[in-house]
Amino acid sequence: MASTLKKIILKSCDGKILEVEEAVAVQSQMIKNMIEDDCANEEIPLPDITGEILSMIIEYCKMHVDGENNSNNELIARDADFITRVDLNTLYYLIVAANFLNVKSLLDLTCQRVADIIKGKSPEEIRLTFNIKNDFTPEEEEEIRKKNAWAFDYKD
Amino acid sequence: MDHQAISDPCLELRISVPVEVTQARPKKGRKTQVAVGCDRAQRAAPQLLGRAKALKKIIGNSAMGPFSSSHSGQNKELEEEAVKVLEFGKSHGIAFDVPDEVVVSKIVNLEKSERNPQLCRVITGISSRHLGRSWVKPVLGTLKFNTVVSGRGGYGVAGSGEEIQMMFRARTEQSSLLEESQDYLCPLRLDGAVKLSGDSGKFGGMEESTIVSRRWEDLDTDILVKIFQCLHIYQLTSGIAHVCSSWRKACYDPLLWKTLDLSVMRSDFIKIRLEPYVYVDAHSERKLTRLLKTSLSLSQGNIQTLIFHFNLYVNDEQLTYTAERCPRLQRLVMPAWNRIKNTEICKAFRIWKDLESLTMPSIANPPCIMEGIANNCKNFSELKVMGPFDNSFAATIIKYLPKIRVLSLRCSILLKDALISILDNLQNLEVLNISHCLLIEIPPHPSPRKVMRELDQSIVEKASRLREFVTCMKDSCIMCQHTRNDEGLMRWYKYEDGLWKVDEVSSLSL
Repeated sequence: MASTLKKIILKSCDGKILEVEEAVAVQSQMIKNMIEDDCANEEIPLPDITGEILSMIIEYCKMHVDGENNSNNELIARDADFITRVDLNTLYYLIVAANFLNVKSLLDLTCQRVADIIKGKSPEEIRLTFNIKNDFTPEEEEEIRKKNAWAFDYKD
Repeated sequence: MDHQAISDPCLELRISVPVEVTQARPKKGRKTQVAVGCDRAQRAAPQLLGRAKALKKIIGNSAMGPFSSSHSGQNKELEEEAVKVLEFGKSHGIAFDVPDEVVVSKIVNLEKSERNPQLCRVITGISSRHLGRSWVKPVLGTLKFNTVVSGRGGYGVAGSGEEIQMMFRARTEQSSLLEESQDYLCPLRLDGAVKLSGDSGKFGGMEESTIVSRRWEDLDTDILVKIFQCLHIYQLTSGIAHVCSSWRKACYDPLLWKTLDLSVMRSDFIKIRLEPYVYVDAHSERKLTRLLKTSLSLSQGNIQTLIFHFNLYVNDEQLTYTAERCPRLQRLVMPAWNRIKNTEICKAFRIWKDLESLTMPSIANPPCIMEGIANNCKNFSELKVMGPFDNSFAATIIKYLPKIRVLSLRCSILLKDALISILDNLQNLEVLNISHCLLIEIPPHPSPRKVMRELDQSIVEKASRLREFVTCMKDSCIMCQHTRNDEGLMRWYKYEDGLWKVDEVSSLSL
């Protein structure tokens, strides 16, 4: 049992140190690889992840490890509960971090969440929601409009 | 030099996350401190590139030849060289904050390029005990010397003995800034590099820096693609590409277009008594055209699997338009054939040279279609026929597609003789699915045709050579009941959506 209690030490970019059980940490494929390569004996610096985000991810991974024996539906419900508590700003950092750490289930969950937010929105509404700058020149836009006039009645 | 030229697509390398390039403007008489990044491993890389002056000087001093990463003696030399660089940097006021776990192990082969005397070629190496091998990816990169790779995170990576890789992407927004200090411009070519990703770096000691913070539009293309994969085809074609240029770019990603699944879309139609036996509502016609236009344009010819709904009535123009834009098609599911002329579908097969798998309705004149497949689709191996399978259909397949490996005839009328001749003649057949079929025996005149309740021994024997022979003729089976009630001509629209997609053969199931 000793190996399952092994702790992995993670350090966020704002200097927060988190000790995580190996079983939880290996939800991250990246950390798993590092452990397999015997590179995880000292603290692992995570340059792009703040302590807050890191804690959330660990919470999520823990939930999945603890819930391994639960039914699928239960996990889905918990996932839904987890992700709906997240605001858009946090969601962005979660995605980037899930991608970086390669936590597949979390990446799937966050991407699906973004897709759900996109659904049913016009380009302009999407830009507003996500605070995206329209970087097409008027000429480009006109060209797109001309070429694909039909592409704009998205609500059809 | 265009910053976006930094990645080399030939290496199939996708740069993970943007790195903002910004500028340290040296003021007269003052030494500018350059410290980069948020991650210690990352720092080691840009430090080496930190200042053109510093490196240029070293290039002058360095007489090192090409190097082999496995040669430890040479590595030692290189390490010493690296230390020199760092010391040099220190004496020139450049902050080289080398973390202890990152050992800068190699600086090699700094040679002047013929094209640009200031272009140096550097192979850098960083080894870190902390980073997994899985991160190592090759890339060619260039970086302007007077730029500082700012805080979008980063990672230096190497497994033991492996050459280190580095990756950069910079943005063009900053190029106007760069021109202000031309004398510092000294592009550096990196062979291999550090994976940079993330979004939380900070500058240290910069007197002036511009960090353009962009967010959702700057998401890694891989992530955007992953998000877009969760979208419905209607959504994907309805304006995601018009949000901004980076989203637009992601919309063209081949991953999104491997399969075009139009099985969500069915025509609004009514059955009529005359050919083509259906009348399709003009609105749903236009809707299909529009959907095809957008998705085929975004797919850029990358579609490999194309799925139409069983009750989608494609017309000739739509088919031709689609065929021309799916040259790499491998699998086609195309049930409703009412409004397509045989000449048009044959034209399409001439384009679909890679076609391997076809799901089609039963048709009146199979030879011309099968001949088209035989002549054009050299790798064709899988066929599913949705509808009656008679002796002439069997004879056509035997004649034109004798090498077929997988055949599914489920849920329809199947003549016993047709089944026997298939089993006798298709020598390469491995998988045959006749589940829920109405197997019909036509005895010599004048006895009436009869529905067989079970397979006779001769069929079972003939089929024993198949790898997989899927049958079901149970009275208790709902699908068998459906086939019987519909008299072998399944009216799929009566049943739950998607029931037509099922097949006991996994490669044919949708």
